[in-house]
Amino acid sequence: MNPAPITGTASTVDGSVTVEVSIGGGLRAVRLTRSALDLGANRLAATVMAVAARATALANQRATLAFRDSADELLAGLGLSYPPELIDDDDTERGVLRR
Amino acid sequence: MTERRTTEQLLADAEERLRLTDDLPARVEAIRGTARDDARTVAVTVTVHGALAGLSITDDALAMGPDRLGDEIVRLAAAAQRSALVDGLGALSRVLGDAGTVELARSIGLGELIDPDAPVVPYVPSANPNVDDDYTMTFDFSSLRSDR
Repeated sequence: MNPAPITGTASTVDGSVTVEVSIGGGLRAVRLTRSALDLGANRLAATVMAVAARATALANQRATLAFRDSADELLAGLGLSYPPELIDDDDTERGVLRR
Repeated sequence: MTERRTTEQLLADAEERLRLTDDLPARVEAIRGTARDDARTVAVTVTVHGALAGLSITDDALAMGPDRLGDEIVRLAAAAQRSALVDGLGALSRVLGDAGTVELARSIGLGELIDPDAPVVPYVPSANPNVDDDYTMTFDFSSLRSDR
C-alpha cells in the first residue's frame, strides 16, 4: 500500500479560498466559494497566491519532519544510533567529555 | 568502442563538468512554466516544483463560477509545471548526458518524450553530440511547450 502523500492545505479566514498542494507546491485542489468571486479578479488571484504559498510552506514543513524521522530510522537500522548521554556535554564537576 | 581518453582530456572533462554544474541549481530554480486557457482568461505560472509563481485572472474568468474556475487553475498549473519540467530537463541534460537524461525523464513522468530509436551516446562533458549529423536529438521540446 502506498503511503498517503504529504500535502499542505490552507484557507482564508472566511473559508472562501482553500488550496491544497503537494510537497514543493504543486496544486492538488483549489476550492472557491461563490463569495470568493466577489473579491474581483485581481484580488482573487492575489488571495489564491497567498493561500497557496502558506499551503506550500506547510507541506514542505511536513516533508522536512517526515524525512527527518525517516533518516533517523535509516541510520538506526544501520547501527548508527547515538546514545543521548554521549551527545550532551558532560558538565559535572569532574567531567572529562567536552566537544 | 569508445576511444580511451588521456589524462589531460579527463582533467578537461572534469573542469567542464564543474563549469556546467556551477550555477545549475540557480538556473533550474529560476525556470518557470506558464499555461493559459484557450480563452486567455486565466494564466498560471509555476516553478519546476509546481509552486505558484504567478496567477492572472480576468473578469471574464469569474463567469466560470467557483468550481470550474478552481479546477481550471489546477489544470493549468499542471500544464505549466510540465512545461517547466521539460525546460528543467533540458538544462540538466547538458550535465547528465543522454543516459542520465533518459532516466530522469522517465522518473518525472516525461518518458513519452524519449524517442526509442534515438542513440544514447556516451557522455563527454566537453563534447556536443548535436554537432554530429548522425545524432538524433532525443527530445522534441518544442512540441510540448504550453507557453503561448
